[in-house]
Amino acid sequence: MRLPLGWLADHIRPDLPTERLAELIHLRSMPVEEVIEIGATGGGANGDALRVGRVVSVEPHPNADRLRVCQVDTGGGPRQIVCGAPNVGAGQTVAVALPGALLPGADKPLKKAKLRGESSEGMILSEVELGLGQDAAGIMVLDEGPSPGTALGEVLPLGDTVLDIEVTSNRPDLTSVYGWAREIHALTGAPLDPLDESLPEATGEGDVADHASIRVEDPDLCSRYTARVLTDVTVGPSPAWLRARLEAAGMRAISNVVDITNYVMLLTGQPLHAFDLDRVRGQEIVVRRARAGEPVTTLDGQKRRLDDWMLAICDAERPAVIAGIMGAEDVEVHDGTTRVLLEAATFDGPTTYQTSVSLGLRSESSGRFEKGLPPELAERGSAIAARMIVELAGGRLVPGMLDAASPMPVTPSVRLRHARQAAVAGIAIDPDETATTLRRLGCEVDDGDPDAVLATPPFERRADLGREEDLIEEVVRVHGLDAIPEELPRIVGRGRRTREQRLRERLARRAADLGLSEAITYSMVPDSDVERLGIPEDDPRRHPVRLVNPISEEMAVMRRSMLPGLLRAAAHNQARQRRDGGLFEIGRTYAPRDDGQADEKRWLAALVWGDFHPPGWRHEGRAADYWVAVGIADALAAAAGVELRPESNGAPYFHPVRQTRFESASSTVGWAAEVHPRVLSEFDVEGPAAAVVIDLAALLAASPDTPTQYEDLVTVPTSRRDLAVVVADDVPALRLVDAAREAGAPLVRDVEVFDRYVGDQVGEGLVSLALRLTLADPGRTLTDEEIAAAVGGVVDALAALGAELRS
Amino acid sequence: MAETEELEAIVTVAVGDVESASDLDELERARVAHTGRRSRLSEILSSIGGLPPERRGEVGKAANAARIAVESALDRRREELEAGLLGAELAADRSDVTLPGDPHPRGALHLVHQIRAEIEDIFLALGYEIADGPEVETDYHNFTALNMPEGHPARSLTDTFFVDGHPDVALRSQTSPVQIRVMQHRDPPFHVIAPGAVYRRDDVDATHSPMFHQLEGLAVDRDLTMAHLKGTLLHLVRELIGDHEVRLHPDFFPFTEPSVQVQVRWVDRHGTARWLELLGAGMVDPNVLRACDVDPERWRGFAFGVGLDRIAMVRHGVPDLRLLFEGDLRFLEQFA
Repeated sequence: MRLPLGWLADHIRPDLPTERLAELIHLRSMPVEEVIEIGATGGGANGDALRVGRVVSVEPHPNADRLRVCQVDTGGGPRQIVCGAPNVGAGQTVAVALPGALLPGADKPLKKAKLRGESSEGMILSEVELGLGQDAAGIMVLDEGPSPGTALGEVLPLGDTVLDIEVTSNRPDLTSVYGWAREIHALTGAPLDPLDESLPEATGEGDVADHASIRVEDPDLCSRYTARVLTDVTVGPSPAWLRARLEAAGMRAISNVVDITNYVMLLTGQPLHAFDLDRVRGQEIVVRRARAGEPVTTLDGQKRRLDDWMLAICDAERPAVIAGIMGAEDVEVHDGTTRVLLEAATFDGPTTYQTSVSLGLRSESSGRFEKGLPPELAERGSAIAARMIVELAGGRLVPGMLDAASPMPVTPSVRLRHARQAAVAGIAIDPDETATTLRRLGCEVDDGDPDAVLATPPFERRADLGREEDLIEEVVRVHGLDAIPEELPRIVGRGRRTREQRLRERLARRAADLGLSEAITYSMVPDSDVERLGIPEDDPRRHPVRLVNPISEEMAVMRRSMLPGLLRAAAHNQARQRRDGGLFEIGRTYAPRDDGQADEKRWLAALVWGDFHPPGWRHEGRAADYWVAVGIADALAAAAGVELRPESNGAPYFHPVRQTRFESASSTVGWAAEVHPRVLSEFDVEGPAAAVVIDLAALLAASPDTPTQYEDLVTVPTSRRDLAVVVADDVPALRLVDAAREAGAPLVRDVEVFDRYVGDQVGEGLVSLALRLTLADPGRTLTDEEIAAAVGGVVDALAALGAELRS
Repeated sequence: MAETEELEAIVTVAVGDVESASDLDELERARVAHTGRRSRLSEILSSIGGLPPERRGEVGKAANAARIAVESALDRRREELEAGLLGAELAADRSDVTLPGDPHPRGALHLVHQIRAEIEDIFLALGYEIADGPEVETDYHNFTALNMPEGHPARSLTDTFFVDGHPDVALRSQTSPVQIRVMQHRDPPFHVIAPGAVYRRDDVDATHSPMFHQLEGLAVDRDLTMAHLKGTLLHLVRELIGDHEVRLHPDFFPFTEPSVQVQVRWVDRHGTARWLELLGAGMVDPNVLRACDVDPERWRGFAFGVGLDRIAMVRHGVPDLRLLFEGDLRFLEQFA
């Protein structure tokens, strides 16, 4: 809301500098976004240099066809002023800037000048030069009243200070100048002048019902529709003061009748609409839902098709206005209009909002209706606008008002307990102050009870002052939030992350320590992702949670896999010369449920590409292959105290033989794999690239949640024995490790593959593996015989798998 | 007495030779010459047995002292020569010490993660716990129970993502539904924070994203007041961004009443100062408590919400929201 302070002063004059007023409003009411100075300043040199002048004579310029030489009386005799405006004429009362005047936007004061040889002691002004309007076609011609030499500031609103205030959706009353007057009354206590809502004398012929009729077919979307009729209206430009106020409030002046409807909207908050009644077919207004596809050509010249849930104001034949938003060209007031139907109505807020968003058509009017307006306001707006049309456009008001209204809502009284106010706010506000504040806000207040006040809000505040809390808020904010002390509550609470939350944090930190950087990618992905992963059509992952209103096809569904987001991020990096890298993400996938919600599973997924372990001047890099992925998976699982066991797996998006699944006792904990080259190329990623996916819930379930118990492996010696065996190359190393562990238990505590050799020295189809056995027994020292027996057992078990000890 | 004097002379000569030995070979030669089997010292030592008994003590003592003196000179010199040798050997290993160390891959937690964890820690220390809720949420939890009735603009298809085929299910547009889930499933008092992703139907640009991150806070207890709300919010701001000028102004949210906004006087790295809206908050609206079967006459609370992405942008001078969602390593690694 742009609030011109000059306009505000019609109703209230708080004795405060602008900065103080703006700060007060900001801290106790609504955020003030900007304080804007507009137009010419009235004081200083301008106080004397901007004057009313009377054009005494107009002569052609001897050296220029388009210029005239005027003699203008600006008080104390005529001066010569050269003027280029086509509409200048003798006898006109005009606005004059004398040398020394500083016009808006100019950086230097005006000087005497010679124009094509003729001297000019000033300028006759157009409204553009004063910042009062947009009409640059000619000079501004003023009313005849003021005598030459009068300071222009007494006649025209020269400059003003405008507060640009952000108004929250619960306060439609603050989208009006008078609403702000009342608010500032409450904030400052400065006296508030009442608003003149009186009707002019109704001198029009007959009764309003003789001129028009109204019918509301959908009262659920229009709780009140009123209309007045004015005849003998002369459409023309508005007076300068009115134009200036519209301009200051951010609206364009159009013509007196339209300007008056806008002016009254800005003053009261009630949007109005003026029809040329002679163009309303059947002289009938019908308020109804539009028919699907019904066309309207709105004032902005666009042809729009309406939906059947939108509300239209129609005449006997067709929609004339999209209710509360914008009218149609062909029923609008125009230069030749004489008979005006003045609409003041109350339209449903949500429908107005939906309609304006759906049509992409926001207006000052729709912005007010969408917040929800009280039906009483319609009458106020109608009366003031009718009076102004009579006064400023020569209209005659026809007696009576057409009024189709649902029963007026009642405004309940609300009790505010002083004790409750103190308990909520943390400070006790004096009961007298409470009563005064509520009165100033327009409530009727009964403060006979020492413990509470009973307040009945004005109709403008009915919607947001219906409860005790609402009144408390008013009293507290007007008192000032800065008065509330600062205190930290004493809390007896857990103050600790859950086991799951701790695990998630630990894994994230471990992943970062492993060299992976954490990415956050969108959970909304293209539908095609699963197809590009090669997930078969009968896989449940083909069925995502689908959005009914996505912003694009690229974000049409909720993801069912963590991989595509990371693949896209890898492609993004590779396209920017990051040939090597590693990313991880902790996020959710969403499996649809019958009730529309989703089974939301959390994952840690990682993707590494290029040389993951970075090359240095002493070492080669290590390509991001299957074993890099397995190593990452192992390290992450170890952070959860879980040892991973690889099993064969057949996911279509992974390399067919370089992928594995990790099982825990109860479920699959995760996967590690090289990404299938076909999938890489689908996502424009250059290989090698390997992925790790961990199901966080499964990992948590597999993670031991009892404290680790100490074993005495510290005070006793640990023995190591290395075995080199040759075995057929289709025997998995893990089988040898398992067999060695089983056979060597309990003295063999660990078995590790630490070397592998394939080549001439071992022969075709064979592989040499080096196993390191670690032997110990907590609390005691093993004898050589025990060690020999345990190792012997391992050797026999390996032999049973065809692994022979290498000599 | 002759032996004694001779021994003194032997020691003088031997120590001189030892100390002037310039390498280990020369030292060995000096050792052989002065303490070897054929040395004069050895001769004197082995001749002691043949001396008259009354002289044995005197000469023996002097000879042993001479031997110890020479041997310790030998040890000392050997150590000196060996140390010099090692030094020379090490010095020969000269290389460019300014070459980089072995590279370790360096990873980073996402900036939004770091800020979330930081705020979590601030509230954990105050006794709060961390709660969680679904992102695909019912409109009841996301709107109705939060005092945003049907027809509220945020409930429209233009503002909120809805699930196809389920007009009553949406992507949560705020973390506030977690408040409802916590209050419905447990008994007061509540002291929880709820961080997470939220979704609004905004196109992607420098300051908008259809997905972003909020952190919600909720405290419901017997005697909570706006003073507690103010104390908590200012504590958070100071812990998070330091001691800046802070002010509260009234605001409006459907689920709190009274509602406030916290503004911070922020000076960016270019020295430009401005007031930034950082946190929306308020006393939990009684309607919200009632929707969760919590009696507003017995329990009172406050709630607040903060945009994590926004904090990231402000505190770290990140100019474009999109940077948070691209996974660009050049961005992520800056915050390692």
